Amino acid sequence: MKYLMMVMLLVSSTGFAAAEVGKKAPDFTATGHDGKTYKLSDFKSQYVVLEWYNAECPYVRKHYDSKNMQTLQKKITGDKNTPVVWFTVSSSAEGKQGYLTPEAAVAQYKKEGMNSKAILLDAEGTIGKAYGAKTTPHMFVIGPVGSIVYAGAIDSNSSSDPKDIPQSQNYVTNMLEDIKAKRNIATASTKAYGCGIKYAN
Amino acid sequence: MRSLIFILIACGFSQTMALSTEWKSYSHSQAKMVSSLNTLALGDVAYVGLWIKLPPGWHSYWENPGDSGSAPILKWDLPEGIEVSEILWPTPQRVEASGLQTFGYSGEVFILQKLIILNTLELKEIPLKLHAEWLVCADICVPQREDYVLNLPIDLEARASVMDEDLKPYVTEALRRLPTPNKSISVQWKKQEKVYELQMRSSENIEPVDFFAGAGIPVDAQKPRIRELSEHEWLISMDKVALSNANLEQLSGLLFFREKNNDKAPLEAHPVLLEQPFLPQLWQYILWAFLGGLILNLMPCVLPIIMLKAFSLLKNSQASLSTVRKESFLYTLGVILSFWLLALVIIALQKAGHLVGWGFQLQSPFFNVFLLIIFIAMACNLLGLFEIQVMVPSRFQKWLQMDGGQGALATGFLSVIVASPCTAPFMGVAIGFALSQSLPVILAIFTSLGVGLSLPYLLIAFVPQTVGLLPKPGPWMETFKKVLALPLLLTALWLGWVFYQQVSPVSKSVSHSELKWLDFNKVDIAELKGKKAFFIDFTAGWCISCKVNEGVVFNNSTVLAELQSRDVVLIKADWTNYDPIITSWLKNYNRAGVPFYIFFHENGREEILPEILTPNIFLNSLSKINYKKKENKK
Repeated sequence: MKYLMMVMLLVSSTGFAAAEVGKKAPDFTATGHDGKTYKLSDFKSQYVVLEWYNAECPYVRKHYDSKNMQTLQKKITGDKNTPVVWFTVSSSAEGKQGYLTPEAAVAQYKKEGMNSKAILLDAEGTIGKAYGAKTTPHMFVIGPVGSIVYAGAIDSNSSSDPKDIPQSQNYVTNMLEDIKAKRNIATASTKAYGCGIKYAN
Repeated sequence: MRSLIFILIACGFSQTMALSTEWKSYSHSQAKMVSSLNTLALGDVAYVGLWIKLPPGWHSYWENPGDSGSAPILKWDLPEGIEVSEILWPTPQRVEASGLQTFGYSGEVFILQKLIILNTLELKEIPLKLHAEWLVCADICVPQREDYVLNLPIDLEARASVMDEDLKPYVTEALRRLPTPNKSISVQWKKQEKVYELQMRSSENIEPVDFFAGAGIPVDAQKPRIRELSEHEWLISMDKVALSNANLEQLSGLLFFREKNNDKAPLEAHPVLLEQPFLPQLWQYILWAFLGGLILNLMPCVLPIIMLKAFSLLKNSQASLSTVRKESFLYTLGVILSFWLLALVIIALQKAGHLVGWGFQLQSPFFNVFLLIIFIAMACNLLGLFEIQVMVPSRFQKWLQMDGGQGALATGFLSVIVASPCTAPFMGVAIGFALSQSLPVILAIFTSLGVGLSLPYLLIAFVPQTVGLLPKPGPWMETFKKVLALPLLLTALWLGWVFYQQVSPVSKSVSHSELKWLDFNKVDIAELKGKKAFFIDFTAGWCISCKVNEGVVFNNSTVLAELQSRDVVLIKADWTNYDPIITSWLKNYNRAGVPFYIFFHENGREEILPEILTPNIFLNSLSKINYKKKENKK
């Protein structure tokens, strides 16, 4: 096992299954950049955020170069009253833009100053396809009972310009605010924007 | 690639000769801002926007980019009183990358907007400031941005605007290539639970090929399923996706079509903008149910019952009109109550989590044995075997003789239980709809179905002249009675055969005629779809109409010869026993029962055939399928 790509998925689907809001989130076991194994179902009773990542995608750069993503990761996972686990997922296939070897992932995690739990290595695209992740950054939030509570874009402005961030509605933050305030989630499904995920052909 | 170069366009200040900025190279495209007019005379229309040239293999995006990507963003800073229209999107193409579907442009593209002059406030020129951002992608994506300025002079004296001669041919061409409505096309839109359906009609020799949903429409970007309803009518269905801020009351997009049966004909786009979804009204379903019930009288399934009914009518033809009326009325009541009962049982089973469909009662071997016994008993009765009056209590006997009120009620019940499992034309659609509705709607539709089924007998009862048309009863009736036992015994025999099929493990693959049929449950339909043409016969051992259709069509020598030579896979979905996959397939087509016939053509197009199948109907669909390629002999 030179590659740590032991992504075993309990979901048998091979095509693009869409993980829709309200449906059960497909369980997965994946290896993180830190070499540890993460299983989604181990994080029951917490919120889990999945963020699709490709270091070279301009839309990912929009949120990382502006430190928007790192700040959000820190803010969201730092609230002791509402435990949230955040995973960054890399589904770029080998030979495609954004592909990360385990070593490169370690370096990238450090370089970006990420505050997510880990970068999950999904070069086979198994998790990505089970969730129907289409773009970077595509965001999914899984509720404490294991169903999907948010799927879509990170914010309301689909431009690649970091200057637009301050005027944008951050859907992930808004949605968690709604949950904390015990309100109905105003925006639970949006159209993800950004670069197409570089899955294997 | 992140470095932004803001340039102030020098020419904007002085030059008015060519009203566009210079071509500028960006990392992965070239672009310039353009205005179709050099000088604007008030009242004329100017088009302003962006002209983008893309290197080979790169593309930019349409208003709905599809699964990924981003539409160009044009932000204008204009003086008060001056506005721009929505973007006049040129016709895009479908672009696929790693399984993701996007809609975009390659080569050159004009992103134009109409300049709207509300008030010039005595300006001598209009400063047009544009911040543009356009994403270009090949395997990777790179955003390009620019801030542009052009000053469009206004000539208050001029009688005509001055068109930019250099740009003119290009802009004219770009405007000419905008999608324009095709007058022969009419479209309607329906929202189902999981799909959006677009119904297209055209009187011309064209066929739909694809549909791109506009921005904000909550449908998947995958190629839609296209089903031929008739020669000039198609159903285009797209999967719905969840989207919080979606535009739910509208369907916009581009409907692509081309010359029929000509894969090389150029694609044309017909813009679609539909406000309210089209819903067939309840009365239409009720009407269909009524017609379906009426036609059901002609379906082979109902034959044994008709025999019985005919006999009881003959016997009664001398009776008082009021008796005839009473019995017809009770028969109708029996039919309607039985339909209600069936519907309620189905709903209860569905609520309990079982996916059952129409005709489910005959999927139970025990129920079939029960029916078999009843039919044998009735036949015995007609043959006079019960006249000894030993085995059967007299009450029950009366029931079996189809005499009096109870008999009429019972015939009604039997008609529905035995005959209704087969769906007749119109009926399938109505039942499929009914079972997804609220209780009052369900009862209304089933009542209508029952009235349709009973109508011939009601007519006889309420139009006394018809009774006169029936032969006079006499001693011959005793003989006739015995003859009538035959269809009943045949029905019993048939039920026995169905029962045998259900309980014997190997009998399922019994195939009609000499053709090779694949078992639906052993075929990977997804694998075949869009690659090969195939036909699915949804059938059941207990569905007599299915058997008749199959007998008529698949023993026809022309059909057999055509099937041998055409490149088509035959698949049989046998619903004799309960089968959740087949049930859910039927449900997907809003059907609750069999027979159901569907062709999948090589290009993925679906074509549903009617419940009454004839060799001609089948051959007509078959003729669209390619001949088998000759295998090379070595």
